[in-house]
Amino acid sequence: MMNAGTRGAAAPRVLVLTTAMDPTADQVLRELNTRGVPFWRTDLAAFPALGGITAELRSGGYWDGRLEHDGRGADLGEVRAVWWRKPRDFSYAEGMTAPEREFATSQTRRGLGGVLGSIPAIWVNHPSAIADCTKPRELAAARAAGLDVPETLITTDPAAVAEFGERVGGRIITKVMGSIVHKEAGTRGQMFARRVPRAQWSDPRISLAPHLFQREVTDKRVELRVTVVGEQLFTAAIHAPPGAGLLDWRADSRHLAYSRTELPPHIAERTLDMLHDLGLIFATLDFIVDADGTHYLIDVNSCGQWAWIPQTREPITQALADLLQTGTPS
Amino acid sequence: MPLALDHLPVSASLDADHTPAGPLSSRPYGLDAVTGAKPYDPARLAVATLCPDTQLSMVDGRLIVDCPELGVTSSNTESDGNSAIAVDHDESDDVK
Repeated sequence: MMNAGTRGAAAPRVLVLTTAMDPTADQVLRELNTRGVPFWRTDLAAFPALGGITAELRSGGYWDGRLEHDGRGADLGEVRAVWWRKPRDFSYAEGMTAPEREFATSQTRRGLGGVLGSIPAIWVNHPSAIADCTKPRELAAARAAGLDVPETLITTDPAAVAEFGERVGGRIITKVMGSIVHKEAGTRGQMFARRVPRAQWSDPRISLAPHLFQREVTDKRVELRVTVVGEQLFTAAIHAPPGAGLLDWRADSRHLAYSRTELPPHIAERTLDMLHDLGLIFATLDFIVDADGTHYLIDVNSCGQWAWIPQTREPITQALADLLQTGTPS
Repeated sequence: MPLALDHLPVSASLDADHTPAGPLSSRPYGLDAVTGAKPYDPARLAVATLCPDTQLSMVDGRLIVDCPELGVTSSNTESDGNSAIAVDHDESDDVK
């Protein structure tokens, strides 16, 4: 089927920013194709090395212009929804020196990035909101919204870890605050949640960077993956077999089982309040439910993955397609 | 305070990093959590293109979304940080 966003077809109403390899985005884009919704998929990595932008400030206080690459493009004034999925960083012409590249980077982020960010469309999500969704910010927003969060400490002081560990009962874990992937010495590994034995509470290397410590929820009943699209919540329970996956299900992803479930209404309401506070219209969230039924918010992923869970894949696909097609959260 | 200008939320570079680990005394404690480290060669990753008609991901001329053996992963880098279909185009579940 010819997509409406291809060359010579209707002006794209949806701008999709992601890599060429994104099967999760493909789920939604296939649906947009079926619906005949004109969209344009591109990657920031094409700009400005291979693609370009021209935009002029209009009296109405908006930028009018066009973004183009490889014979395709989008008129900024026609775009009603922008899906910031998994774009790579801007790229530049070969041959630039480091200072020249630094200048080009500054110009591109402010010029191209600034014009893009000014598009008066619905953003899923706006890059500023994504960048601001740091672990400390999201956990604070969760607490402010009335959600439970395990006791959490961020510190460069090993002595503070020992005091914290004693105070919360002696079982603490540490988690990274950014990517779980670490590349070094030609290898690639992961950093999952990890228990911190008492003997390591005073490790001086804790002072080398801020580290996050959290009380371990030891009476875990189940973990939940909640995907929020606008005002809709799609919840899957994640069942990990005994082993590493019980502490962090990502550590045993090949042996997980899933089932559909629902959040209690008051948790769902607080979750939406939190996302509103964070300026996110889409997110995937992780909860731990303990034996008492307390739902602990563990993580907020503003560009999180969701399509690998069969039980929620199709309804999320439809909800995202609706959101991008209508430009209105339902 | 918006962070996007200084910290554009984009996916990680495909490049490998061959820098060896430094001395333990200057290695942040959190890196002790690294597990499952395997040799990583970007040159061996599949090259994806877009279908000119549908704008969907293709590898070797096939739409990934239509290939059960490829599409079952349904994400480029899974939530566990492992690559899907030998492609590693972003850092993890978190674009941070």
